[in-house]
Amino acid sequence: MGSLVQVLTVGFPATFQPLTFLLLVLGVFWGMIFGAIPGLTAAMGVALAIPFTFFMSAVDGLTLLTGIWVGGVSGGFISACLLNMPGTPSSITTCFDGYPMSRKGKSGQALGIALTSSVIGGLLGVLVLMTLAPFIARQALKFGPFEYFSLGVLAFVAVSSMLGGSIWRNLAGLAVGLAISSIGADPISGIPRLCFGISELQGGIALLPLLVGLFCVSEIIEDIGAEMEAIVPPEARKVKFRELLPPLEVFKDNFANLIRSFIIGLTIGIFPGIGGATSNVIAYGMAKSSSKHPEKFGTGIPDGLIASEAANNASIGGAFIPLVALGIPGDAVTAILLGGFMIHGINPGPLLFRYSADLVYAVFSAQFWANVVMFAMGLFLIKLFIYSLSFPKRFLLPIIAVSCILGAFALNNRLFDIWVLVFFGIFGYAWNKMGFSLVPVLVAFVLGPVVEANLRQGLTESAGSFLPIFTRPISLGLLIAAVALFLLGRYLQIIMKRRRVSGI
Amino acid sequence: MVKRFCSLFLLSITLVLLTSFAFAAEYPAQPIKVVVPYAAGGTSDIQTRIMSKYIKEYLGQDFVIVNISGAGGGIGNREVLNAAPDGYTVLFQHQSMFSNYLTGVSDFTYNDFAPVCLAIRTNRIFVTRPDAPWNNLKDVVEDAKKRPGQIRLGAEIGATSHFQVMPLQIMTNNAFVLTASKGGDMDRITKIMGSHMDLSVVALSSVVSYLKSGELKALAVTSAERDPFLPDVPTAKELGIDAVFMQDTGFYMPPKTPENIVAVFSKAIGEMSKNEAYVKEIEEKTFSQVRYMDTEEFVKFLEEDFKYWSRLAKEAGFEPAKK
Repeated sequence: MGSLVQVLTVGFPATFQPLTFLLLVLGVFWGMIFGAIPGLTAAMGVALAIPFTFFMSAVDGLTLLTGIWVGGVSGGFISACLLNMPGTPSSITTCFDGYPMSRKGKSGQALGIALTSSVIGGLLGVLVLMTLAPFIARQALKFGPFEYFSLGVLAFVAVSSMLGGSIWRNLAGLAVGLAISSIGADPISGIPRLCFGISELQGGIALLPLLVGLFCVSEIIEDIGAEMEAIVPPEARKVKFRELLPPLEVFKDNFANLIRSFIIGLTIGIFPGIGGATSNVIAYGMAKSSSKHPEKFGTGIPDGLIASEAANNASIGGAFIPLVALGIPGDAVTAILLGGFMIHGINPGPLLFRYSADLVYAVFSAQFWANVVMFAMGLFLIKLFIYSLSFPKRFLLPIIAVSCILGAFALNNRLFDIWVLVFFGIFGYAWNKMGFSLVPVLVAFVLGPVVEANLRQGLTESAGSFLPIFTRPISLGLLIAAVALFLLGRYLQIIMKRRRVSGI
Repeated sequence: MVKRFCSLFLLSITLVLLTSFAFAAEYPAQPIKVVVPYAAGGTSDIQTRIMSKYIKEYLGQDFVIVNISGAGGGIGNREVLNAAPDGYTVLFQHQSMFSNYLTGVSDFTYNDFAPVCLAIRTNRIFVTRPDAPWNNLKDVVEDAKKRPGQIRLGAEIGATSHFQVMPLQIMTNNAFVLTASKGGDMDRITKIMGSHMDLSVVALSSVVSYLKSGELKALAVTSAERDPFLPDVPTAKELGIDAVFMQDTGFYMPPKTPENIVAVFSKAIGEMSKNEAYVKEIEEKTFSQVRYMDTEEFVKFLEEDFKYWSRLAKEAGFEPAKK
């Protein structure tokens, strides 16, 4: 608890310098724009801003980067709700209920709920970070390869049995995703696999062009042919400010859901290597499995939105814990942030609290206020985005297409990634048309290397024995949860089929 | 609809392209793209970003740092290998180019490029948990001989760390359990701290703060002489273990780059290496030493070092890729 006091006495005053606070506001704005535009990501926003921080003091520079990070991870819900395109893998399940809600003309309400859940998840995450970071980080280290493996299996089961659609089709999607993720250098031995002599494939398929291709380009192809004049109904433009603030009852009804999703998000965020992409899927699956009305998920209800957004923002706080306490980055964005720290002569790691405590408290404070600023700015930006996205799609789609291509190219400055983008755009369109879901493909792609590398690492450790998967308690617990989730998913599907048959 | 889509699409693309024209003149007439084949935030990345603060004074142009990561650096390497030989695309890389080639991961190595100069040298260090029973690398080797198959030695298969643990395996007749890591020093540091691995070798720059705080214990550095940053840590050589490795990061240009361009660039790095502020910043922020070698010296050094690595690869039974 000691550090909470220091955040208040040392951190808050540091943030409230005029220039520092201005940078924070700019950072959140910049981040939200990057998060909201399909094809641009939080990681890109942070990386682009790093050179500017050279000329700032450490506190100013890190405040700016933190603001971009918080804004960027959250901004994804805007395109998810309005365009059915997740700006980041963290907001895949935000599309499920956000977009249907928006198509019903309730864009303002959808975005308001998503924003509020994000901010709640984010703020609670920062509070845990401030009080317990070093302790939790140390515990997370005990999570070994077999535990990672079982967690991955749990995510696979959650995505195939709880996200709707046929379980078998979802399993087929998982298989395809795993196959795509094994293209490129093998994560353990570095030997190229499935490259077909194409040297560019040796690095594997990058996440960004795959994600943007599967979810944005395929959606653009779909929308070109669709009848509707505008993707966001023009009547949504008249949204009132008051409608953006969600009614209190929504959160009262979903209190348990909110807390559960937050805990899931935070816990998953703490483990290096898996973050928002996994947490929103598992939180959504759990919300559905423990809901009284699971059949309504996917039709545009607040429950799903809250689960997804509270979880992915809680993961930010979670991912920050190993970064500040141990110097271990949990994902691409935290790795870039780590670089930002080091440029200012600060080595995140076990000594950070001892040597640069003031700075750490300033960053915690920045993270806290970034969430507050984001709430205020979100309300304003939401109106702006609804307004600009409700233009006829003949203006909108070309611009989105160009931003997708720019984003893919900017990733590594090579043309090859644009072809990957186009390929997965067409693949995603066809896959959807055949009645398969794209989500299992993406989740398998993200987690495939984690599951594979950890299983193989574990096997080198146990000299080839698979037994520890079942004898280590955490690993066994995760597997039991996976089996339970699978059975529950089957049961729910059978129930729903019967209801449909008997006409209830 | 489709027609309108296409026309607006083309218009926007054209606008983007128009802003990115460059004009050719005497070298260097435009900023130089430095390819760092690792993710942003790593040691190599920070070193180039420190250089980019100073380089303009010596080269007259800025550095633009581009991170192209993947395949243990192989993707960024290939990007420069295939770039135009005009001196505007430069690679910043270390010995992983050797290990990639010798283990068959990539089919090219240092002499397929135009080596420019050496810029920075970092030590490698063996580390373990603070409560481990050994005080130096010799203790570990003795212990492994006594109870083979018990001690888990971490390395990234096919990468530089794999080569650097080979002497231990050769000495003890494979008494260690070689535990695979999935890439990067951070992964092995995390695994050692969580007791999923007993010891491993990493770049000194990655672990100094962990050693100072007592989260990790140093067993030996791999330099020929003791390291100025950690003078109390013995070298592997003085403990009787034949493992001498450094991480030498330098610049490479695409093959067939004209000699005068290579010379201009190398000279600028050489001049910059005399700047005390630059040297100090590299030392303080990355625990590495500024170590300049001109092109001739650098090539000679690479030849020698490559021979040593090739010998190790042969003893371990690796086969290089066919060209």
